[in-house]
Amino acid sequence: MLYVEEGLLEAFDDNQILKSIPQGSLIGVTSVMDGTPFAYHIRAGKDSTLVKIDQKGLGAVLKAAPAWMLATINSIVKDTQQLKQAAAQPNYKSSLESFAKFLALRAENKPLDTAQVIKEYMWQCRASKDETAKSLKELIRRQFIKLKPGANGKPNAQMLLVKPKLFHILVDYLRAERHGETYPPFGLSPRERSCLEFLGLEDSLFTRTRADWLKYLQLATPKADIIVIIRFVELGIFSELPEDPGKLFLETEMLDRYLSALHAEHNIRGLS
Amino acid sequence: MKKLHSRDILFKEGSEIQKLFVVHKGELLIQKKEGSKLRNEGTVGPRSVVGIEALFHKEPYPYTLRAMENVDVEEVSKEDLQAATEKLPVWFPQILSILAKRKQILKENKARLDKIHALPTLLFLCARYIRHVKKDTFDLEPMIDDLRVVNGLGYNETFELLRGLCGLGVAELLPGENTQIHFYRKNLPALLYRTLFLRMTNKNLPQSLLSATEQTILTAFISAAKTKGFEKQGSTFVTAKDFEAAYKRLFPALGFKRRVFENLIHCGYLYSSPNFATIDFSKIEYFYGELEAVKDLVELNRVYPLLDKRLLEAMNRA
Repeated sequence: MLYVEEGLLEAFDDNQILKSIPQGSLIGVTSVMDGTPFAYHIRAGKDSTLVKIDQKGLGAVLKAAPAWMLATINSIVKDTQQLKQAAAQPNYKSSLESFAKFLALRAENKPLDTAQVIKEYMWQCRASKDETAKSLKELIRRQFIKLKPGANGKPNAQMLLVKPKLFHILVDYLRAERHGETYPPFGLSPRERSCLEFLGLEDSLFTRTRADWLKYLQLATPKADIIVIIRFVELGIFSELPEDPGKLFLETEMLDRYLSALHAEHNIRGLS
Repeated sequence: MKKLHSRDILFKEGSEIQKLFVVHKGELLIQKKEGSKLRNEGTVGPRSVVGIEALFHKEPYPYTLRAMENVDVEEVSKEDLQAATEKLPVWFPQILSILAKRKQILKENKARLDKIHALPTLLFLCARYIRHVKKDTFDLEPMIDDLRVVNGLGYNETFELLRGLCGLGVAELLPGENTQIHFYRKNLPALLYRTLFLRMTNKNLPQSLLSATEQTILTAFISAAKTKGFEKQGSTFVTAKDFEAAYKRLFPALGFKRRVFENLIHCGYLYSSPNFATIDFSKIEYFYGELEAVKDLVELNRVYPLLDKRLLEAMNRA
């Protein structure tokens, strides 16, 4: 690095002056930091005095600088390196979550073209081939995907999503796992699971009072108590009716989501 | 040393106090506003330095920092920075400033690139969401969540990108309890997505993009169809006479010739009766096509080049 103590420098390229570098300027910081050559040639525009700043000189100054300033420089250098690396990396938090969600949204009522879908995904997310292949293998291992030969017999040409709806559930599970949280369906007690299975049989009356729901659940699970009802309200399986707060409505979509998660727990958790 | 207790706020998102903080003890939670909600974005702990942009570039804090436990932070103001640098060689503050500026430029570039890279996924998701709604309008919140999972783009950045798209005249944001987006043409997100994907795979301009002359022909067809067209067998028909009249009214300096129709007919965007290939151009009685598909095509042709040229501008304006 050079500091222009007096005079004037000129940055030039092919004998064309690109810019003047006045007294008080510092040059070469980026070259030193990145280990790259100077972007242009430098010559004296008039008689100049330069201060050469080498590692030794810089080290001596840094020793005299307050601790917060060193911490700041370290932080800036570290952030800069991370930003440079991140520029070429995918932005998502987890490649498996990203790929699973993409497939859930890309699903059609027929098998997908494996090569086409992978190409499309990698283009969308700037995911590497290795990362994508790893995610694909993981989804095959968890039995979310089956690869089939194409019409021309080419192996693995077609991708069959076993149950596209479960991909959304898998993503929610993975996200909870990443945050160190329990995925709500898998946090249910055996008693709550049994009540939930029984609710799954309900096909006509979706609105009852708390007491009636309790009686109903006790038909199949005699140990069911009001705590189960409260928990199901917290989880959104039951909702309170604004016009009749005494009654609870069974949210069948949420119930279906919980049951789907429970029925596929083994695959979602990736237990082989 | 500044001491904070659990839940105390060190600074709020958007505040402009131009101070830098070095955390000596304890953890702080990073919280960012997303619409009316606050989202937790991770934590900072001992030896972290926060507020570099605020001190060096006078920028407002990009997030709120809240203590999760008892926290000790060292506060550095502009005056502290000045006092410290005065004791150091005259060139030293410049190193600091250049490093900070470099980081800032990289950060801004990354933010811009992240949005550009997320555009295909955004269009892909819009195309998926719009398929399941009736009025070409859908709630944004679930789509933004999906975009975050698939691509990683954040809530505020997604809104910037959406505002950019709206700035190109393809859609409008509808504020309300749940912000919605309304696309003026339902098929446009899918068409734009497929065109971008084709560009990536073929490295050639796809067939769906029209020459200027072809665009004038289709524009005249839409105009003629609006006033003089009639429906038959699921297509919109216009007589060659009405078509030519509309064309000459809209583009008086241009010729209504066989040559300009060739590609449009070949690609199946327009048809003629009798068949174009077997009859003299002057003897064609009707031209017909799927009016909505033709409108989609004209709109795609208008918007597609703008994605390269104007989207960034539109995002900045928004």
